[in-house]
Amino acid sequence: MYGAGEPVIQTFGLTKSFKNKLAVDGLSLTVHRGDIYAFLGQNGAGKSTTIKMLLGLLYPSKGYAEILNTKVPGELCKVLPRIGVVTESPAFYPYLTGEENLSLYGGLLGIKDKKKIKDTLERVGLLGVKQKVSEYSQGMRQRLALGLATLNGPELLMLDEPTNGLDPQGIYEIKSIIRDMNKNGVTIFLSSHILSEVQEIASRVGVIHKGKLIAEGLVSELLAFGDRITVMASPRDLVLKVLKENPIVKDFTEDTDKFIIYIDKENVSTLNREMVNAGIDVFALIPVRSTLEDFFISITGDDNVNSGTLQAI
Amino acid sequence: MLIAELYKLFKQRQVYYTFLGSLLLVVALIIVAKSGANLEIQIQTGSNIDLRPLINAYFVMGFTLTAGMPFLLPLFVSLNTSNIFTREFSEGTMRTYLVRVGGRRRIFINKVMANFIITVLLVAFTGVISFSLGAIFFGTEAKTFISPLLPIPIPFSWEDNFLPAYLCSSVCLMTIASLSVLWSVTSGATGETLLKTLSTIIILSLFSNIQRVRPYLFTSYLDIWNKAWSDPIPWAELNRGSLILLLYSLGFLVIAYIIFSRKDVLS
Repeated sequence: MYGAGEPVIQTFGLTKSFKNKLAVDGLSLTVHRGDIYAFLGQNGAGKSTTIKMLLGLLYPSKGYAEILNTKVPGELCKVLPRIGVVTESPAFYPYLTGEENLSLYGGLLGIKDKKKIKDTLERVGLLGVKQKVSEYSQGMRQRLALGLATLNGPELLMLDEPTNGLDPQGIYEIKSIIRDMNKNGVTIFLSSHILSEVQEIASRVGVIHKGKLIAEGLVSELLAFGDRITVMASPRDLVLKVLKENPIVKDFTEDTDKFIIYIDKENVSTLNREMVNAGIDVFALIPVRSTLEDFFISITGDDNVNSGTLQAI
Repeated sequence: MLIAELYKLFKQRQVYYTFLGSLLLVVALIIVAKSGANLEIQIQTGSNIDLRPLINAYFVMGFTLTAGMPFLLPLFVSLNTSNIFTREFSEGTMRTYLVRVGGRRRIFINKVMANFIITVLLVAFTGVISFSLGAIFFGTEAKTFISPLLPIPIPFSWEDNFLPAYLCSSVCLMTIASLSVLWSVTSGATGETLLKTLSTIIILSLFSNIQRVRPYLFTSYLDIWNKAWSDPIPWAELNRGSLILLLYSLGFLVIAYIIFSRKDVLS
């Protein structure tokens, strides 16, 4: 799926301050139907505060939001049956089992079919677990939360740090579930500060820094091939000589068996030709794709956020 | 949602402790009565009267209220309210509840109703268990009932004495439950709700001794239930006191709702 549909989440100057601290500052973002939208930011950047405002847990100091064309938090009740939510550190009734918790909420959501509860438990790998939630691990709670979020067949899934506390297997499973749901038409809005995990599944990202949205766009655009290539060539001395003397090479670093070269894309073939002409054996020339981490650091690395060629907000 | 609230409530061990507490109160009273302790009291004529031959199931039922209403039963009610509201905030389940079920007004109303139901059930349980155990150990034969506060033997009647006494004590405890709701929506821990509720009652009870402010404090009416033992029963006073307590309950709940509906759920 990709984010080409109608907006399903829109915020308009959403602001939240706690006493003297501005946690979210005039945030305006848009999530389209079909997106896997990753809402990124460091710890304390304002991600959870934003999600809590969208879910009516916190009241905005200024601004408002719309979910599925419904104004929130005012009319949140109307859209809750159409969305699924995993909050940060999900909490359940500790004196009930996972199944009892799901049945309780299922009853409140009008889901009477016990099979649906069992199917959901099976999907998140908790079918047959008889323990009370108080004895659950963090990973089990997270999976139960995902089960609860998907119990009502939502068209929008909002996940706040969904992989918190999960082991690699758990993270893999959560990502699979997210991908599958998105393939089935569910729009995903997830927050995270673990960028490598998000990069694999997100179609669009928004970056919040110190309460402000500083970048938003398609992952494919944000992570376009940059100006770096990896070169594997020998002999080493000759390669070093060419790289040092050639003005089209902006900079380079040497790794154990390769060189990372900073060069404009249009000059790569020229460099290749010059190396071959100089008697160098060139084994590989590999463009280096930026990672979300590179992108994130490039725009949040210092206080003077440089949005560069990215879609600055 | 009310059924869900009651279901959650009865799945919590702490709730059973409050019923167990009431049972232990009755058992303790019976043990004292059975132990042959001196149960003589001085009646208004100045002569002593030995209560022991007069103790029966009705006496136990009446005396349980006298012993429980000043502290234990309000404590139990406050504990249950904490389980309904504060515990959900402190354990983060209120957040899940709000984002899954939504509708703060609906949640508040159902929680308050569950709170009242559990309060009435606690009073009813106390009455039933005290009468039942009293009947087992002392029988039901005596035709007079000794008011524990007004030591004059009076002819008892279910309709005129026990029912009004237990109904009024329910109203008193519902007012305390409403006060607990108010404190619980502003508290971060169950202990905090208990402390705030009981402190309020104790402090305002002290102020109730000042005649000028006495009519305006709800604590001045928390003992109206014992008027049901008077002979004749002051019905006007009983009704007025109950009405004032109900109005106070409403006031506490309205304030609690305003706070709850605007509260930022941070945990």
